[in-house]
Amino acid sequence: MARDIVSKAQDLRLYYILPNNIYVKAVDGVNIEIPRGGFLGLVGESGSGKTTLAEGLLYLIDPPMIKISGKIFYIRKREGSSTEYETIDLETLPQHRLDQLRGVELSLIPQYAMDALNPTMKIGSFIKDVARYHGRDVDEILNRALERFKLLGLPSDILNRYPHELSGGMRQRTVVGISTLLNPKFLVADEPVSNLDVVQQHIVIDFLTELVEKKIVETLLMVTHDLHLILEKSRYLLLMYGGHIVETGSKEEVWSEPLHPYTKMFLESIPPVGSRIEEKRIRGIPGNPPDLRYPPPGCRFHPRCPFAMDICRRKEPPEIEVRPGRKVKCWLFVDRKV
Amino acid sequence: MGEPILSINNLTKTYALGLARRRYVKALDNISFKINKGEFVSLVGESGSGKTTLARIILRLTPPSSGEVIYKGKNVWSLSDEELRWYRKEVQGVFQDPYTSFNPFYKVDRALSVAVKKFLPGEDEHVVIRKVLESVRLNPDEVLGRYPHQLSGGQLQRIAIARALIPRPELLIADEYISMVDMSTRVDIVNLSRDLVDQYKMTIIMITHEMNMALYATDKMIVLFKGRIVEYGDTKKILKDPLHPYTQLMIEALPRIDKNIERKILQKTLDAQKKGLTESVRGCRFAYRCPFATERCFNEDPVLEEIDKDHYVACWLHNRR
Repeated sequence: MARDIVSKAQDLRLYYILPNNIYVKAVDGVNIEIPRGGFLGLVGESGSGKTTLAEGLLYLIDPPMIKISGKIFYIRKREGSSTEYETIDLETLPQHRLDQLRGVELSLIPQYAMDALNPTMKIGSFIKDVARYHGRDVDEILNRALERFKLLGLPSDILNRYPHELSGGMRQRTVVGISTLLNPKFLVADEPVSNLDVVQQHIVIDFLTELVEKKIVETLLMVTHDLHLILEKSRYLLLMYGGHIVETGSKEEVWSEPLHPYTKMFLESIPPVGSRIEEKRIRGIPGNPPDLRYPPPGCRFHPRCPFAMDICRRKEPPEIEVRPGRKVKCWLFVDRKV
Repeated sequence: MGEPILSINNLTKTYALGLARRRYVKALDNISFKINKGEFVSLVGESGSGKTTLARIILRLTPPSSGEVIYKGKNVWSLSDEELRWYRKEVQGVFQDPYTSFNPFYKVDRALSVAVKKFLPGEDEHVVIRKVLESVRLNPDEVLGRYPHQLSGGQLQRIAIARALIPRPELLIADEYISMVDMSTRVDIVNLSRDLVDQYKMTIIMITHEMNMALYATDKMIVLFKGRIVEYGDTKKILKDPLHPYTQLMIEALPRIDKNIERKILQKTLDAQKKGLTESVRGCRFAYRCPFATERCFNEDPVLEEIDKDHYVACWLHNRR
């Protein structure tokens, strides 16, 4: 149902082209439906393709990133209707309509957010520009900015400051605040709390959670390498490995009954709070993540998987829908007779 | 236990900031502690705690403003040339970003062979390199002959550890050496460190902001906040009974699956930050964030005191003086 999904990718392949004409297959055949509403997590380690996929979902595709195949849809309520939804193929939108959509309905908190501000502009001037560009009332947006900055624990004189007058943590929180100013329906936050201390991490996560709970942001997709960060607040998870989505499901399902061997081993590789090495030695996942220039044939995880079978080395596994919304991309879940 | 291998005595490092209006920041403020041979020690703190400054002073990369670093009875900052060569062999460092620790234009072999030539002249390079790679649980055939960009962060960090092991050091300073390694292989680096301590009686100081890993694997823990030691001692004791509210906060803030765990200290800290309260200039640096702070905490510096055997805390709540 269109109303249950906010974003969709079909057979999506996003590669980076290197100067020597070698492709980095960052997203390599992804089919996903992002459920509408709430706090969702896109989890993967470095080099899994999660940032590329996140940018792809907002159609932020610029060289050296290129789309090799696939379609990207954004699904929204039809204007003037309370029940009807329309599915927009982002590729078919002219650039100016895409620009209008971004910021207003779609927004990204970019990775390395602390470096995303214009160093020659005061924070307040930057926000005025954003408001004007989207034809909003400047004072209203400035007031909203102050409210949000307060929630983020930023000082009240921040509008008159230049980015270099702020600490890294403050700049990062400033960008988080600015990215939410137009009340986007679908907000993608790419590692918004990395490089922050634990207290600031909680401030940012609580802030984003509050926007979601108050329905100011309808759907939040948080991209992170640290599953534990979003364990408390998220409701649905998508796990990525080697350019593929390997597992999706509600947080509870993924946590209590991980299906993909990668997910299972990933969860087991993190020492639980209070555990000691003498009592139980926690093991990491043996081996190394795939080089996305030359990914292994078959399942991307097979070289590290203790359950790998012959077929895993030869053929890419299909996506198996165990239950609605609960998917796993693994040969272990395929009825062998078929 | 005899003499400690490393003693830090009243170490202070002051940085001057600003050109017109000079301000002074104490990155380290009168730090003292002792480390015994064969201990796995964690130095836990967040950005701004002074932990990297401390590592750099021990490694002789940054001079202290005052105070001493005593290694095996010798003041590290007043060594003769010969003693300095000895020190550079005995004490090794591993740093945060493995990709900047290696020259991208050379195969990783070179970094290892340079170290063998320098520290173990006359020994069979090939044998030493293979052995040291095996000791960090790498297959030499998988990594030798490769360039840094062809290896994962985890592999490269193991090679950095292997290189540091070549001079057969007694003390290894590991500054945030796991923070850029993949989440799913971090624990293996920590396990490996534990084994180096247990099997070779090495002494390792792991500098980290990851409270979780420090609690999991180390013998002794030093918790730093704004350039001061707030708590220090046996890790198991700290895990069981963290005394300083800041240590409690760091443990409390660790993520858990339960949706509604109570985080009293964290909540108080969040409230203080939202009110824009900054750190106090006098007294306990943590007072403004502390739910238990009294008048005294804002005015008087707490002293580090041994509350229980091998368990020290600098907090007026526990201090009996």
